[in-house]
Amino acid sequence: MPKRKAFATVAWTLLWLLAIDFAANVLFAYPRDPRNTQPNAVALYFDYGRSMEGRLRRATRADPAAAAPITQAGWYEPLVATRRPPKPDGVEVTIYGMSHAMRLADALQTESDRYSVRSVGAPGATMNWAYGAYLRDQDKGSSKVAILAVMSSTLPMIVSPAPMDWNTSFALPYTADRFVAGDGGIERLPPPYDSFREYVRTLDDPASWERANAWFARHDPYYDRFLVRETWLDNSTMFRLIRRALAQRRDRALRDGARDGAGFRPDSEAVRVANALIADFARTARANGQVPVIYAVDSMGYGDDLYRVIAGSLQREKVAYLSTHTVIDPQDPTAYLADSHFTDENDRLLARAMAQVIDRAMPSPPRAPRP
Amino acid sequence: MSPLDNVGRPGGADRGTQAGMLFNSLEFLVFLAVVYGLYRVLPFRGQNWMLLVASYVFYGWWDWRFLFLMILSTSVDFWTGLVLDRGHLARRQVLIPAAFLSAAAILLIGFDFSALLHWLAGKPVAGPLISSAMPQVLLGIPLFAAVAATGYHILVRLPADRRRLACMIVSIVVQLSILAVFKYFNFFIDSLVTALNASGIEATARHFDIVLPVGLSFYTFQSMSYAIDIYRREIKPTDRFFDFALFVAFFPQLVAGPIQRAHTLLPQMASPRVITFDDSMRGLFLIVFGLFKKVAIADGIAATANQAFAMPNATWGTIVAGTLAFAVQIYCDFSGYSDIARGVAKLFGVDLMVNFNQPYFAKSPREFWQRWHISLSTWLSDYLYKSLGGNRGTLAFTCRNLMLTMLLGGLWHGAAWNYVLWGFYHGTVLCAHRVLRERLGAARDTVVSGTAKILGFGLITLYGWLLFRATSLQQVLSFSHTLLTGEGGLTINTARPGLSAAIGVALLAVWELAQYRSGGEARFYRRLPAPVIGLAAALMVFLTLMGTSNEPAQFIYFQF
Repeated sequence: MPKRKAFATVAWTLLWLLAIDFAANVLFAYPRDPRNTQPNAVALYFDYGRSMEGRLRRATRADPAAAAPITQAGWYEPLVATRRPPKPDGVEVTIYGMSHAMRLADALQTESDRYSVRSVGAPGATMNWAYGAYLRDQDKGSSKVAILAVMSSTLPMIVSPAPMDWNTSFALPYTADRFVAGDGGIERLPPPYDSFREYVRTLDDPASWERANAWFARHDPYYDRFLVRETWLDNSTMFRLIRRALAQRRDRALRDGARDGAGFRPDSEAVRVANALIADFARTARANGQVPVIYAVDSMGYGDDLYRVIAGSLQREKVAYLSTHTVIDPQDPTAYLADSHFTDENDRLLARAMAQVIDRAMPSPPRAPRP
Repeated sequence: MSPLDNVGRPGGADRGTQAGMLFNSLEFLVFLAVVYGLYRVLPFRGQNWMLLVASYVFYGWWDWRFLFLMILSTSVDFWTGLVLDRGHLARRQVLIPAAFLSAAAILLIGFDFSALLHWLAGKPVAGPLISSAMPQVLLGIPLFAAVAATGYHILVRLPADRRRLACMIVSIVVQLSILAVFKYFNFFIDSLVTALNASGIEATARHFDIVLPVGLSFYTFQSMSYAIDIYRREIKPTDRFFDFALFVAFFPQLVAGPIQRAHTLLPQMASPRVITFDDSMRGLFLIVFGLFKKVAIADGIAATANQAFAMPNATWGTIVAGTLAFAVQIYCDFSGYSDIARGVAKLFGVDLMVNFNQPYFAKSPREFWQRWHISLSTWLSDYLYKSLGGNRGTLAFTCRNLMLTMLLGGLWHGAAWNYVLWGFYHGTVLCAHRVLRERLGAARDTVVSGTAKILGFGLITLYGWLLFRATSLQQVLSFSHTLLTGEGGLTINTARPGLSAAIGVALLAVWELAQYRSGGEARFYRRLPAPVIGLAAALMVFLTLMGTSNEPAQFIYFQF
């Protein structure tokens, strides 16, 4: 190819790239209205790499009614509990965790004639969030059973106090407690803000936002300033694609830090924290007069990796548990919906299995004296 | 361990993968920039030294220990090549490789080389620097030297013809032994035990924890062809050990080909290379094109194939969708790798052979193998099929040779029976085609008959990919049964391809059709106006960027 034509081709390539970048921004623009929760799938695809701060600012308004609904979810203050209709002579059970746990709550309410279910959840909630919620739950005393959910695909993120640091797909502003496992048990670090109001105030004040980011940078191994903070490059589709790729690369590296070919690494911080949380939860729940139960959700493709690293703690602390791999094959894609939840039928199966687990764990009612 | 469970499980989960320097990684981009920069400022000999070191670093990124294996293979073939042709070795031809090999043994096996690098960089080292194998290494070096010296004295005393033959056999035996141990040992043991158990003799398999070194099948075949070509008097051996080492280890084609022949690559290593503007532009285009195929398409469609082949009870629709996806994935993955390898080599002024020439446009099995993995099929044809007698005999004799070649070609891909079955399947198809052509003669194609042949043979190829991708013989049987009975109908349960793959496949189809219509000329696009080429390149870059969000998978052919 003559040099002149080669240079012209390179110039045209760059021009076309700019045109495609611009066209993608215009044709697949992400809706500006935070209340619009159904963006076009392609618009969503091209927006994934936008900085977390950029996405949060777009979704957030001081007036909760004008902000994106997702910005309201998962806050510790106030802690929102969903109480389902009580059953005659029923026993109340509270489940803390992610959407999988909330689906189990619905299924358990339907499938069991004994247990009425209360739930406290957040989208994508990790076990540290769930335990933080349990500790803050003022009404937990009304439940005889407390179920804490943990999921294999988010086990490594148990060391993160902010989903915005690790969940690069969805902008979730809520925060969680950061737990640090030590020789003497666990240390709890509350996040810099834990309510929607405080979050909005922090986001709107540059100094507070900078301080909060500095706190996350110090305490969250998932925090990456390049992925979180907003820059003018957010306006380029191509740059967003590159950032998305780098985010995924970073996520893989962090996930691999907790899991290798043999499963989760027992010496990783995530596994140590998970085991410490199970032990602490078991003791605290019992001290509160409750039966502690662990709901271990096996994500597709993870086998029984999760159970294998927490089995020791479950047995040592004599905690009742339901590990989903005992009911559903975690290698069977048809057992799951496209959004990673179990199918409705499988949730019902799990609910029945959970009811049996609680039956066995509940202290037997006092026997009537013989005549 | 089956290779299917190993390194390159197509698009596989992140379990059990070796961390290497993939062409589509940030590490490789930096590595290439540094190597290219150094290359442009160094004189010819310096370029060769630097490329050799870079190639070893590139390979060592997977596992430093396996580098020793390559240096052993290189040294043995360098010596046998010279003794074969000249009947003797000059002192420096003995001492330089011997010193190099000994140093490699001590550094790479005797020490924990990764720990050693950490220690040299001042980083904390967890384990001991000296490995437990150091005593064996120190004992092995003089032992190897004694065996080699004895062998040498026996060989040089033989008459020329017998010496030539013996040297070639030594080379083949050494290379095949390395392959047999590292690639096939557990497979053969398992198969033997299964056969014994089936015949009523109780036996249990003792497994060795052998990891398949990446690219082993590629560089051993490349080395082997060197000795065979010298034996056939098609080339002269090189005097320069490090030129030969660079021929074996040249990083762009080291781990997944194309398998180069000494008569094309070695002269390019032995004399100064010229980098033309045209070559550089072509090289850059090949890199962009290869990354587009790999990142945008192959990685984007991997989940579709993987999920389909992971299902215990897949429907008819799922099996068809999964197999189609795998056909696209393996083509884009492997040809993409070859394109990048050729493109990178061109940046250094080195020409590598074309490895793929629009294989899915093949109208017959014979044509398919002239278009698919050309460097392997020509290797097998030149060194196996023709050595067996080729088509110089009856039809039955030709078919026997075709079948043996394809069976071994299948086995080359991996130590598992489904690869052997895949080879047998293609051997049968080749033989059937041969017989039909003998009986019916070669018909002249019209557009309609040509298209029908492409589509018809496409179906045959697709079923071959099902055999290739299946995870067990049981799955082959169950999937074949479903295909015949139509169980589950058109319901498709597997993952949808990524957006980059969906658009990328359409763009690639247009591109390949345009190339096919222009007579198959790979550089057909140069005749197009600059804005059109620019648009195609921009789309490829954009789709590649979209594909970077896909879960990156190892290149499939790394496992072979």
